[in-house]
Amino acid sequence: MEPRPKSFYFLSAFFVLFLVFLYGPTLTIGILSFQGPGGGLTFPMRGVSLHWFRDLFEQQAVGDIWGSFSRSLVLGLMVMVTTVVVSVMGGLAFRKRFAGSTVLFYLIITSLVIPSILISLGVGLIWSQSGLPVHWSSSGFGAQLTWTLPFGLLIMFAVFNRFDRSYEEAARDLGASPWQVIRHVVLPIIAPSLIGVALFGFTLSYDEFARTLLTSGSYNTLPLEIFGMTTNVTTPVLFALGTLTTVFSLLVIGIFLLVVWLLNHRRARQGSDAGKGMV
Amino acid sequence: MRRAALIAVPYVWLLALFLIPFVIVFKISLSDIALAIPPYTPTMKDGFWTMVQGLDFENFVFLTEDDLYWKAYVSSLQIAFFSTLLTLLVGYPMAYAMARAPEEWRPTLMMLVILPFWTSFLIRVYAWIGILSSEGFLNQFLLWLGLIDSPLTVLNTNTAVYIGIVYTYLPFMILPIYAALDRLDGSLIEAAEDLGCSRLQAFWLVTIPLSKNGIIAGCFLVFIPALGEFVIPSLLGGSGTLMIGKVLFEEFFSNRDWPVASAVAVILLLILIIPIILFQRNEQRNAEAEG
Repeated sequence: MEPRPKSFYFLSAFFVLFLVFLYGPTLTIGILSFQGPGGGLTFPMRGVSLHWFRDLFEQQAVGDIWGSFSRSLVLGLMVMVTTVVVSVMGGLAFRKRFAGSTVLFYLIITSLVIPSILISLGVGLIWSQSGLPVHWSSSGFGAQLTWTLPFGLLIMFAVFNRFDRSYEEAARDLGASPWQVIRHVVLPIIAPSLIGVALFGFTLSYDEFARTLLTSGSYNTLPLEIFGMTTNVTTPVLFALGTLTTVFSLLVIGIFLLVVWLLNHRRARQGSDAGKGMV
Repeated sequence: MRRAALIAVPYVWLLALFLIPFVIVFKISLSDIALAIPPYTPTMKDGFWTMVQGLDFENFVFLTEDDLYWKAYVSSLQIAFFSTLLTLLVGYPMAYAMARAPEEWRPTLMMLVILPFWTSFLIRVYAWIGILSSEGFLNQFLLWLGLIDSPLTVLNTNTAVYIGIVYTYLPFMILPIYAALDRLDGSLIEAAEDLGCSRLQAFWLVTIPLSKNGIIAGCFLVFIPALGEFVIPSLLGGSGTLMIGKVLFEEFFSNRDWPVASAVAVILLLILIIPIILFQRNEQRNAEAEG
């Protein structure tokens, strides 16, 4: 084996330093959530305990985090389903150029890069202006879609760019109706990307703060609740919450990865399942 | 027919949740503050023409009179610019290292860059308080090493805001640059070296220009959201940190002056339109180049 160039060691050292920077806060959260009952927000640790995790389950210590957690969960699922459905529809529509497709593409990019606080203000105002109650499941839902949909659509554009249309033509030649082509050919082929879009949609929504800030009304989502805690809670209970929500996110990703694995596995065993449902 | 319906869905969504809000924001920026619900006047209830007659540019004049606002714009632009530069300086070598790494390591390295995202953003930023405060981890470490005698003041300064922004937005810089470098044909570098370039020259004359699109995309993805950033300056910055996102939030919630908050937002949007148009041009050119 030829000796590695000097640049390899240099880059590796840089990468390690970078990982320390990137993971410093995550590790801090993980370690300090096990802080002893008398300990504070910084090192040193004063003993090791599960005290702060227990505190999470006591209403008076942390307020309404479980309520906000379930709201965030429901909202995340709503955003996820809508993002997947609309992205697929948008992706299908975008395969042919149409009048205004460039304008729409620009709008998507703009919506993606505009500071969230502006969207939040705009959507919040549209609801209060038209007299509708500002609520996390209506205005909050709308504001979050301005963030997750562009992501979903851009992913679907990339997917359909590479999509081999001869599969569809073959299906049509064999007598499939347009709906059957989509149901039995297109969707199974793009299924793994759809899971990616779903995962994106869920996690972007679940962690979204600024866009929900002015649009959630009187019931907070989890990030808003956490923001409230950052200003008035000064104990490691916040870190315990961070650890717990991270574990939860990892579980969600784990489930998604498992689904992808199962899909691939089934496909490998059966060959493509495209058209199986027609028998 | 069905196609038209398919196209209509994203259009309607963008119109309803993106363009109309801005029309409303603009309208409110021309209104006056009032002690009512909603807290501004005139409204649609007064009839369309009465409403139009009640609009004026008073709030925009107010923004130019109080120097808090333009100072906040300038300091936001400054913070966004330098943190983008810092993010590029840190992110480029990272992306380069990832693209140079053996093929089988790359997915793992990519995963390592993305993984911290699964912890709540707010709590991660909050954790920096524990690291940067005067009795925090960083100061204790430096004191232990004997590099400093008394704790450094980092928290509640602009330095902490820079650290926070670079930390939060690094992946947005790394991923587009990595995508550009990953596609780069290694034989081009060999060719440059065969033709007498030193390694550094080849890097400067071949690698950097070929990753230009990734650099541009990364810079926009960091600069634009950093300009309106609200969470990082309010958690890590001090009373001296002026950022327009924070001003907007305070006008809206603390002062309940929606007309001024809307005027602040309209000007921020105008400032952003220029980089957004540049960004779109670049995207379009990429799309054309890829055919």
